[in-house]
Amino acid sequence: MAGPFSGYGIEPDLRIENIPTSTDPYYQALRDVLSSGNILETYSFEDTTKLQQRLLYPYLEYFIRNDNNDYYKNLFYNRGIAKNKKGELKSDLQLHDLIKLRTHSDDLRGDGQKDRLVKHAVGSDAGMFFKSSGTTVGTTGPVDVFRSNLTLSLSRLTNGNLIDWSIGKKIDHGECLFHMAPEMTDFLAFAAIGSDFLRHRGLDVSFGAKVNSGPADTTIWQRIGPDIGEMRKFFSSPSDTKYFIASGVGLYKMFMEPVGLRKFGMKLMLNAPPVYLGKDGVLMIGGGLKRLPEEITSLSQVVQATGENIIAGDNRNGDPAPVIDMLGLTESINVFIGIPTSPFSDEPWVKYPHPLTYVALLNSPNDLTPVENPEPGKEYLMFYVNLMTLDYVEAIVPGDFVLASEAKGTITTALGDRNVAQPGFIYSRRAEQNEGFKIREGCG
Amino acid sequence: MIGFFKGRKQEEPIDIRNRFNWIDELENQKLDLSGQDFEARLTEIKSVHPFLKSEDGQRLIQSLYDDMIGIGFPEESTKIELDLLSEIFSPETLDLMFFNPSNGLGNSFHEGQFQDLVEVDQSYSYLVVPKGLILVVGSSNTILPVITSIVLSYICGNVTVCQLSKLNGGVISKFIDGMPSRCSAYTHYTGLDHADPVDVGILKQALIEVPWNVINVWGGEDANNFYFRNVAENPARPRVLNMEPLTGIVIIQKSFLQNNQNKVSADLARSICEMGQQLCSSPTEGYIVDDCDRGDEADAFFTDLIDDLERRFVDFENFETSYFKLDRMLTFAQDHQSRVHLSKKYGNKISVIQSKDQSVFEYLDDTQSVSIHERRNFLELIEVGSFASLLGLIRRVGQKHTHREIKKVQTILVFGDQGFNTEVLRLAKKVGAYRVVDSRYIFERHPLEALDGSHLINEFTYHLSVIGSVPYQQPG
Repeated sequence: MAGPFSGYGIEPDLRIENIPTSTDPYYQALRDVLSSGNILETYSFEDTTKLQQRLLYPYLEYFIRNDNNDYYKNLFYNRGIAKNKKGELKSDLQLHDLIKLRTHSDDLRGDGQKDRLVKHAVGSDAGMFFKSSGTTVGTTGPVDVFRSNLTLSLSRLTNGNLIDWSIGKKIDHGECLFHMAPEMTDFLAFAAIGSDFLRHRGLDVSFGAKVNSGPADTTIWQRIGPDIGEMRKFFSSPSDTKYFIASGVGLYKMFMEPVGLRKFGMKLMLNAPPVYLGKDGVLMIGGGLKRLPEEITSLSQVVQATGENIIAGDNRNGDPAPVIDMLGLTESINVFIGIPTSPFSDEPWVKYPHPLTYVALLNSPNDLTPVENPEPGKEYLMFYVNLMTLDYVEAIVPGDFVLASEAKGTITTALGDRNVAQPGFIYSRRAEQNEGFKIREGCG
Repeated sequence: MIGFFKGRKQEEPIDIRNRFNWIDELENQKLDLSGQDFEARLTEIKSVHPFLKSEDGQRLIQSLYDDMIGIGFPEESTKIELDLLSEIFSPETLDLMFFNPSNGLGNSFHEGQFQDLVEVDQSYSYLVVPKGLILVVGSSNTILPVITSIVLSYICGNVTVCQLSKLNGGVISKFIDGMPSRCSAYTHYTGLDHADPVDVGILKQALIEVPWNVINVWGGEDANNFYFRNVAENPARPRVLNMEPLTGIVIIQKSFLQNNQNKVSADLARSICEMGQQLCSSPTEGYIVDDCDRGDEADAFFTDLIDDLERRFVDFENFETSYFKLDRMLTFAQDHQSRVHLSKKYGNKISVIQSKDQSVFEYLDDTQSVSIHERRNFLELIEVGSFASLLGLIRRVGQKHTHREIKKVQTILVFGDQGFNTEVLRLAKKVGAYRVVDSRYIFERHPLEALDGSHLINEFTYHLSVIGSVPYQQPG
């Protein structure tokens, strides 16, 4: 019960000095990069590429140095980036060679990550396991990823960079309400990492849901319910800066689904809608279309429908609060962050990676070649490498398709202009499960 | 009126006769056919061949093509199937089938069998007579085997009932009804849907209560299990002739390969590409036996093979999730010291895996394995140091998740010199394979050959023995 949220969540003191790898030169190099200010605000595309290229060999050498059971020495050789099994890297490696080290999300289900962990992460209790919901059928369980405190310490910095950049200022005060239960900060990456970072920055973090008691054979997802008291408290707080962090389905259930008496009941219980987030308030959403009804085909439908009721201000005269949509994945230590947008904007919701996340857009599932100059608006398969994940090579093909966005060095958001350090993308869809017609077995 | 429903409980709502009005006619039809002339039926079926070349026949073929493409059959394999359809009816093919010395002279028409009493010696003669009532169960991947069964069953003098897939059943019945023959009058269709609870009840009733003589199942594991289980309760004890999911392998002699690299590569590519590797004969695993003792790798051959596969490449429908799984299979292979050769042009839609000594997929788990029915242009070639190791490797083919549901090896494609090929033949006996072929016969069936060890004509007929010294006339 060391977590800060009713005993749950990432512990405040990560005690990284106890982790021997904290003296590793690569870790130190990352600290140096991150301590030089928020590089999202200053780096050009070229700077980001140079940084990633500069880190390429140190990154790979880090895994050779900290290898467990020669997993990476063998992997690097078998995947064609090392000359031999002793860990001697080929001399002409480029960033696009990282695709050779790809892991598919399904490879991280069950015990999939275990063999890939470096020494400090094997059997360690200085860290946390993050799990996906486990609802995908025909798999060997949920995606299950261990994050050591060392990686979590970097995540505080990188995810902090991302949110500061998106909001347009260093976040260091205010209140936030996660529309989820504190228990979820023990296994849900987005909840754990987001709440940790905001708490670390000094914000008052609360949770708008709770886990009810129920039969032993039910899952936490089946027992979750609203924490009316916490929500009411957050909504009625007079703070100027409130961040309301919800999923699409959460917003839908609170503000769209209830009609008639239920709507009235909701208003009575929560004293909302409308929700007043203070003049600097922002609505942050994530989770995509998960568990939303079929008629909802995009999250923008939800924020448009709720936009008039979530206000940046303390009265009806305030503007609709800007919305930041985030793409969070269990198998990514960093989120891919959106920019503040009016809920009524028709602009596509572009997501941006941290410069320490190398992103490549691949041709297709049957041709995993990184595309050199992606065509804006065209659909590609996403691949990323989190260069600051130190527990395993986080080079992931998550099975998501994205549209390339126009590569602009500066963009305008609802909260001002932003420098862009690395091209963004627009989330498109998950890979289709439908296998269509297939020639069936039988003899011929 | 047939008497096999006598024991039926009245209160049960399902009755096959309510669905199929031809059921009560089956017995009369059997009698009717048994009184007809075998040669007349053979001649009648031979006449379908010129019909298929005629305008009307071409229209029928075009209509079948449109239907199959509409259903979702791949264009290329549909063309191949329909091209070969007329071959079933060619007089040469039919004569070879019915005058087939490899089928045992007893069942060859040379001596007038099928209609005349054949005297073997003074006290023993026999007649080849139809078994009577044949149920043909079709699979959805192809139309040729079922049409072959229907046509041979009819020529032999049987009444045939077809339980066909919803997917292609209409195509097959359209063809049988459209060809100029009385075959359609003696062929009936059930078209029952496994997934429909009422249909399943009727199907079970049909399997248990109709006195089938033969049930010929062309299908996969599930279908075979279903039919075998239910037919076991049929008091008529029908013979079940099940054509199970099998596969092909290729065995290459390295010294032969070195001298014939272009030919081996081209022929192997053709064998893999035809029908999207979905035939029981298509090679899905292969072995290169090193008889050169030099230990050098056949790298150039793999490059050639990928080139030849690219040249013959036919794109099939993309199944996104399958390609992720396929990539996981390929990276698994890489991680376990196999080399993966992909097409630069088509990515992992063409994948050849080069392994040493044993299949890299022996320890691959099920969740990582793309079903053999979804794989196209995918071949693992295992380089082995000795011929002796092949026996164990081939025996393990069906045990791997990559070959789930595959019962055994049907076809061995061989590339070697005479001595090597003879060794392969001996090996084929040991592993119970059915065919050893050159690349031409991966797709084609020789009219003389048995199908997975069985001659359909034998299965659809039996010998009526006439024994003793009493004189008989030809029954006519």
